[in-house]
Amino acid sequence: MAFVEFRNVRKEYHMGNSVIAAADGVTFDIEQGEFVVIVGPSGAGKTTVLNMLGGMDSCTSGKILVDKRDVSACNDRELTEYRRCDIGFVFQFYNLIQNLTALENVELASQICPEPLNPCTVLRQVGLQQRMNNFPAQLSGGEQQRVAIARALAKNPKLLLCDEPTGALDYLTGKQVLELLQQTCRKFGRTVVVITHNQAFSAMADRVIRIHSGKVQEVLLNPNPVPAERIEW
Amino acid sequence: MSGNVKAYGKAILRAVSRSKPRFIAIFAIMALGSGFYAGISAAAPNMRQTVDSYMDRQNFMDIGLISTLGFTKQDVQAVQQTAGVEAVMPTWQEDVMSHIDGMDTAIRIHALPQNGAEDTGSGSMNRPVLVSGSWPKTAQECVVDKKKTLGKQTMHIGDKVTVQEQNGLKLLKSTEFRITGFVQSPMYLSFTLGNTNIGNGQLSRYLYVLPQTFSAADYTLLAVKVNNAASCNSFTAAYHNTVNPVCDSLSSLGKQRAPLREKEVTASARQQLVNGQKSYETQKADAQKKLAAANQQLNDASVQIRQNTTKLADAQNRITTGKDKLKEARASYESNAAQYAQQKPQAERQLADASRKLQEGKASIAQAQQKYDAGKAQLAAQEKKLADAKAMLDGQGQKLSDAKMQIDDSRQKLEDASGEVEQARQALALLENSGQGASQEASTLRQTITDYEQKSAQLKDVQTQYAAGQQAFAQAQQEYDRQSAAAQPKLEQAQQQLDDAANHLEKSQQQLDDGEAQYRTQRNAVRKQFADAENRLQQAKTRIDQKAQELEQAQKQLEQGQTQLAAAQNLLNENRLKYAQSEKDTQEKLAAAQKKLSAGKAQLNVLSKPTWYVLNRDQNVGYSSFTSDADRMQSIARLFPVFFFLVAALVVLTTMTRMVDEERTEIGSYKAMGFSRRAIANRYLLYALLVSVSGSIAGVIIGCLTLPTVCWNAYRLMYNAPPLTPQINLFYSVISCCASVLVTVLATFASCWAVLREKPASLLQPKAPKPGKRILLEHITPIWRHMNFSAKVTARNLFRYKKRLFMTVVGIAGCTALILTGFGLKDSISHVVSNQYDDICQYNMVTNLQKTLSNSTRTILNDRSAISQWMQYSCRSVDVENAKGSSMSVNLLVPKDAGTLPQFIRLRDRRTKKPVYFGRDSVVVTEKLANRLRLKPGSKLILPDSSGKKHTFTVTGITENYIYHYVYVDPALYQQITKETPNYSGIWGNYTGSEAGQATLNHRLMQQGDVMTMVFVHDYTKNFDNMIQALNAVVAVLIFCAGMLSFVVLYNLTNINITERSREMATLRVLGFHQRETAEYIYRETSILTFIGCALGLVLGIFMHRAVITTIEVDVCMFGREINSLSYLWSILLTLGFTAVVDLIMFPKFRKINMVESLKSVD
Repeated sequence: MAFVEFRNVRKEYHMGNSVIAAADGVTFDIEQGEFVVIVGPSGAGKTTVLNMLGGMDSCTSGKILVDKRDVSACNDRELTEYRRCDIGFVFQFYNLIQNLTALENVELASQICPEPLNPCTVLRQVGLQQRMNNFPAQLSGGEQQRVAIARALAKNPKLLLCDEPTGALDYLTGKQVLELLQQTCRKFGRTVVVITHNQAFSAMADRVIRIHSGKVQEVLLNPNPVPAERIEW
Repeated sequence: MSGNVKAYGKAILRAVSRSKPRFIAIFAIMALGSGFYAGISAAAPNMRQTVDSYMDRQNFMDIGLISTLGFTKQDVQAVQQTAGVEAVMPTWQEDVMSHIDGMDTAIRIHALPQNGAEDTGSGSMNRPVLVSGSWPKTAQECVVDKKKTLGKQTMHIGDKVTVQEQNGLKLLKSTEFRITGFVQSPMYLSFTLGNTNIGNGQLSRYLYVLPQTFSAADYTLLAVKVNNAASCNSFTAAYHNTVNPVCDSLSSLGKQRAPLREKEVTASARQQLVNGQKSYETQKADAQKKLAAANQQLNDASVQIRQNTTKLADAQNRITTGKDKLKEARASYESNAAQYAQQKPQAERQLADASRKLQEGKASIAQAQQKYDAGKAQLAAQEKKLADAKAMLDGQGQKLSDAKMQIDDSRQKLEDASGEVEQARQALALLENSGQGASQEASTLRQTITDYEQKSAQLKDVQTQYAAGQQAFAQAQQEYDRQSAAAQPKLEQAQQQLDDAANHLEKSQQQLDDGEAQYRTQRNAVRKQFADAENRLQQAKTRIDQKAQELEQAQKQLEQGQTQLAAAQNLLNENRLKYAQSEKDTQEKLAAAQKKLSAGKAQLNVLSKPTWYVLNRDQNVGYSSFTSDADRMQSIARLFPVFFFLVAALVVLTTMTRMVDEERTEIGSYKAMGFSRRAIANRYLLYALLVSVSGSIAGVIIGCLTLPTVCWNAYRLMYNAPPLTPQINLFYSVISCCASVLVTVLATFASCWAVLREKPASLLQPKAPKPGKRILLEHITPIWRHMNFSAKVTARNLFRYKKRLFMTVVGIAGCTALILTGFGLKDSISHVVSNQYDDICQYNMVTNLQKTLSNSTRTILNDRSAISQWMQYSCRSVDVENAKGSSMSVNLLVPKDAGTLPQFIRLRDRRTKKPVYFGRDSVVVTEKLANRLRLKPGSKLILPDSSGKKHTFTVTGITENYIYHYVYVDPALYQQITKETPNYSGIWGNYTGSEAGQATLNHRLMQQGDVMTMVFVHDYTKNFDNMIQALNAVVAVLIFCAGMLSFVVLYNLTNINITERSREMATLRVLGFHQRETAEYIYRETSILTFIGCALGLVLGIFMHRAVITTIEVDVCMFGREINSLSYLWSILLTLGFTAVVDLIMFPKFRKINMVESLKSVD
């Protein structure tokens, strides 16, 4: 039994009279400790998949199992609990609380989950030991994204979910962030799921899930993922 | 371009529907603000309008004419012809007494219009409205006002009302009326009907009867309608300008008409007066004669009493002397008795000694006797011995003689027997010889021989013995003789001695007997003496006692005499008092008669100059009190709604600003697309216009239709007036709408302008998120370190969004301040009466005298069971000036006795409550007067005396006061400075009797000629209380509206807070914060802001309250300046309560936060 199982998951949105299926029978597995890239063009339904996986949205039908927990059967409160304990999110626009310093942003996450990592340690791991007491506005984009990653990691989650983590970053910084994510996976054995429209990222993944029009087009296992610094786009 | 417009319209509608809560909030705030302003402002005009049209409908007279002598047909005609008079209705009214609701009350009877109450012609004035029942049809029927006693109608249709005409008037044909219905009259708008000069001075009801019920030929009232007056609102200057000239011309007409009337009336009156004077003189002489006789009697009695008093004094003297003598006698008796008591035991003792000696003598005699007896006995014994011995000797001699005889005898016999014995011996010898010796005969013979032999032997013995005896006897005889010879001298000697002793004894006995006899004699003598003494003493005592008793009796008699005398004296005194009383009575009667005469004279004088009273509507109690109430309502509307509106406008303004800020990206897009600035701005301006116009119009309609009605219904607690005719007051509605629209649109335009001036590129660029900042608090490490994480976040957030903080705090503060002002208004207004009449004024009855206090009135006032204390004062309404020449109309009050004033008026400082000194040289002014004229202790104050001459005084103190203005001046100082004595015609009293006794007291006082008016304070506090009740209801409306506003503002602010920070909250939700935790994150800030706003609002409220109070305050009143602590509490609680409710309402919003959507956007 896989660490994450998606079984025929559907997500429908009602737009007036028409029904749009953002996810139309999505099925895939993810093993623990894998670096997974979900790739597809805009509007293919990757974000929907990620949202359902992250407990931010519920599916219309189908089954989602994460570490034997039936996420698709959770109610609102259980979903919150699931996000709180099991999931770490990294967003395209970082979504840091502007009014809190880097350290405090990490603390904000760590204070609510049962087995947090030390916020300082995590920030040091992401290379921000010098900027801990800076406010987000005083940090560069890459640094902000690192804080976001640190915030996600500090919760000691089962899954680290990243939605276009490099979308708002320049090439070099983006690369550094990818490296950091890959390291997190390799060094700490954390399961990382990255969503991107960028095909180039596929090379660094253990598993690539291609999504198109709300369906899984193919799932590729990559026996030899390349290190992040070597990929180009 | 039309497509454009269409798209625009859509965009706006979409903007509305997208932000429904915001639209609703702005709409509601706008509606509240403008509606409240328009509604409250329109209340007073609307009320005036309603009352005016009511008065017009009932054709309420513009001017009422009353004359001291009534009006004739000629008078009516003259009035009719006066310029400006549209119509005249000659009619009657009379004040009568009746017993209604268990009390003697004064009521006024009016005649209905000649053509009936339903006639709408201009000549039918003061038409009452029939509330129930039917109009009277006969002279014995009436309709009555619909007043209720204690909320209950105590009179019913069909009940009879009996009235008594006063002062000998006979205007009515009937004095008993059957009630046929209930009415309400435009003449009596307020529940307080007005004053009268009968009964307790207050009208309590009014009746309408048919005009034919009045029998008098002369009219008592001319109701006048002025040309064009009905078309003016009665409460405007235009109305007064129309009516006043007619008033003036009618007054001058009165002066012309009066002398004509005079001649008719005065002739007979003069005759009456002359008769009266004559009978007065007769009665006076009569009374004086009677009094003189009584006085003589009293004097006689007095003389007699004086004589008797002298007699009694003599008797008293005598008794006193007797008592002294008695005392002496008693003393001598006491000493005699003492002497006697002393001598008696001595004598007894002497007697006892003598007696003892006698006893001793007796004893020694007895002893001697005893000895003598013993000696005698001894002697006798010895003699006896001798005799015995003799006797024995004699006996023995006898015996010896006897024995000799016997012996002789026996010898004889033996000798006789010897012959026989010889015979017998022979015989025997024969026999023996015969041998018959052994025979019987022989034995007897033998025996005889033996016996004889024996006897012979015996005789021989006896003979011997006798011989011996003979011998012994001889011997004894011898012995005796010897002894006897020896004893005889001794005996004789003893006998001699005994005889001596006997002699001696006899002598002693003789002596003793003599002594005893002597003792007895002496003792008897002594005893007799004592008995005599005792007897004498006893007699003396008896005499003394007798005397004492006599004295006592005399004393008793004396006392009786004294009692009698005292009684007589008392009687005399009583009679004197009676005499004095009757003298006084007589004099009073005479005085009264005199007064009546003078009054008659005066009346005649008055009669000779009859006066017309021209009364315009201002003299009508209902009209004038309504005028002032409407003015008060208007003054409330002057400031409070403005504050209210300002708070609303402020909130709308910030909300619109934020809306524009929120949509800056969109504005950027439009701009980038090439829309002109105006086109873009129009979008928001249209939105603003839509919300402000619709909101304010809705608000104005609702406000104008409801608020005046609510206020008027509150006032109708004290007015008999029709319900309000709701109307939209265009003036205030337009002002209110325009202001709302202007504020909103301008605010929107301003913020749009700021945004529009930026370059499209920078607008499209997401606005750089406001950087986090360290706040000052973080530098205070000890505090910061002890705050937990969420507290830190809250603190930083609060200071991060200064605009939001400001807006929230100001919004909440404004609402709290409004609520507090509302409560404060209520406190201030309701305190006026209780402060003034419960706290400041300590008296509860006020009497005004004609001139000076009469003795009879003084007697009534001195009745301690009804009036615990009273004081006289002089009170004049004067214009005072300060040193700079500003003047004010005040009451100048001079107490007759400076020391008593503080017992009736509490003079104290309002803030410190410390008493203000009033005494020598004091000039104390009331607080509001001091404020208005800028007076301080030491300031100069210029007061006119009664002739108008100005004098300068120095203020010594400022005292708390709420109704009217007073200057209290020490009488001594006043007299010293003005050189005039004030007329102390006012009296304050403290009535302590029962409630039922009030009417009696009132009646008694009013009967006194010198008493002009007399009121109990509660009579006019009742008036004021009603007014305050109405005001309270209005204030409740204010508070309610402020509460509503507060609620809406809070709703809006919370809504903005949540919308603005949806992204932040989405992040928190994604991170796994629970709904509650997220809500707390926001609410914690809101709560703190609410607290700050609340606190600030209380401070702001104090100022707002002060501003409002000083605006609405009537000149003659000073409203309370303090807000109750309870009001603060309520304001806080209401604000916090609203916050809590809003928070609860908003809570579901947190669930609706779309994590996915909000994370996509950039903040």
